[in-house]
Amino acid sequence: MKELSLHILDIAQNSVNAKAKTISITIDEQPDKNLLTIGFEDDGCGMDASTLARLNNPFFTTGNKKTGLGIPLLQQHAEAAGGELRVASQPGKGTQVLASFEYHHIDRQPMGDIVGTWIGLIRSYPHINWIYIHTKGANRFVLDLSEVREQLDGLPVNHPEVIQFLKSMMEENLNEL
Amino acid sequence: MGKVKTLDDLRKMREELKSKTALRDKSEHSEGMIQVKVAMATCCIASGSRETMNYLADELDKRNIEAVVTQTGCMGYCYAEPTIEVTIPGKEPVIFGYVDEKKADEIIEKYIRHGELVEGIIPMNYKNIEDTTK
Ligand SMILES: Nc1ncnc2c1ncn2[C@@H]1O[C@H](COP(=O)(O)OP(=O)(O)OP(=O)(O)O)[C@@H](O)[C@H]1O
Ligand code: FES
Ligand SMILES: [Mg+2]
Repeated sequence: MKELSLHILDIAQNSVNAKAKTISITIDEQPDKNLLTIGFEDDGCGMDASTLARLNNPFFTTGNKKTGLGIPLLQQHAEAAGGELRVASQPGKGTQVLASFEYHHIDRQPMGDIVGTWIGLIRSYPHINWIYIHTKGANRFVLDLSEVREQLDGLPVNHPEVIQFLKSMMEENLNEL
Repeated sequence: MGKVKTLDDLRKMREELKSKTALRDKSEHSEGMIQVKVAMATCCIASGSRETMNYLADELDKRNIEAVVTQTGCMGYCYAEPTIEVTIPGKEPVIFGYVDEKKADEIIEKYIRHGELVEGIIPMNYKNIEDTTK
């Protein structure tokens, strides 16, 4: 993966596969503390202890048409950038994934097109409650799809003009961070 | 710098949008519509499938072609990533490989709009790709 935002798309896909209804993605950029973290939290099917134990093995997968590379690849990149990957999960409750990186590490990948990732996710899975929280230093941008839905009053979130609106709203707000 | 958009602005444009559009949620009325599935397993994503998917969705919208773009898992043609499957109602699904933006544009204009074949089709045994993400 060339960009962290591609990992985000990929790891979020795991939560979708786990039939989550609400998925939150939390990005925290703290250059002064030399820390960048990306957290995922879902209310999907979760994993039992034996699944969790095998998660770091490349090619371990429970999905068909899956390759089992998502988690090991993110872990490898986090560790290469002075960070780590932690996964906590409870069967029937959900899963939390937290990846950390040294912000200024030379091998830390750039964030890349995070708006493209987010728009791709809501377009493909408009019925999931996506919550996006992006913090940079002391500034924060939050986008909660259930709040978007309230404003839309029945209009689908994947309506072309709504998608274009959300795209530019997100771009503008992230630029201000 | 101009004012940054907020959800209030969205609420303000809502009525206008509603009056222009049939209130239709594509993902719930997808039968009979053109279906485009983009393979989005880990290595597909690494090979550029996000760009392919967003481009296809944006362009189909812009060109007023009613279609549903969804994600699916590995299609088994990893050597030709990014891969997509296009199903035109009443026709067998067709898989295309190496779909970058240029190829995607060609697929929309030639295959989707006019039913003409374009280069890059991957032969398969007339079997639909199951949606593993449902
Ligand atoms: N959020 C989650 N909830 C429940 N199970 C999960 C979650 N994330 C990962 N898993 C389990 O861990 C396995 C490995 O995940 P990983 O992302 O590494 O590979 P994959 O999703 O199976 O394939 P790929 O990501 O290569 O397309 C999954 O098949 C699934 O069983
Ligand atoms: S992993 Fe991408 S098509 Fe196989
Ligand atoms: Mg995965």
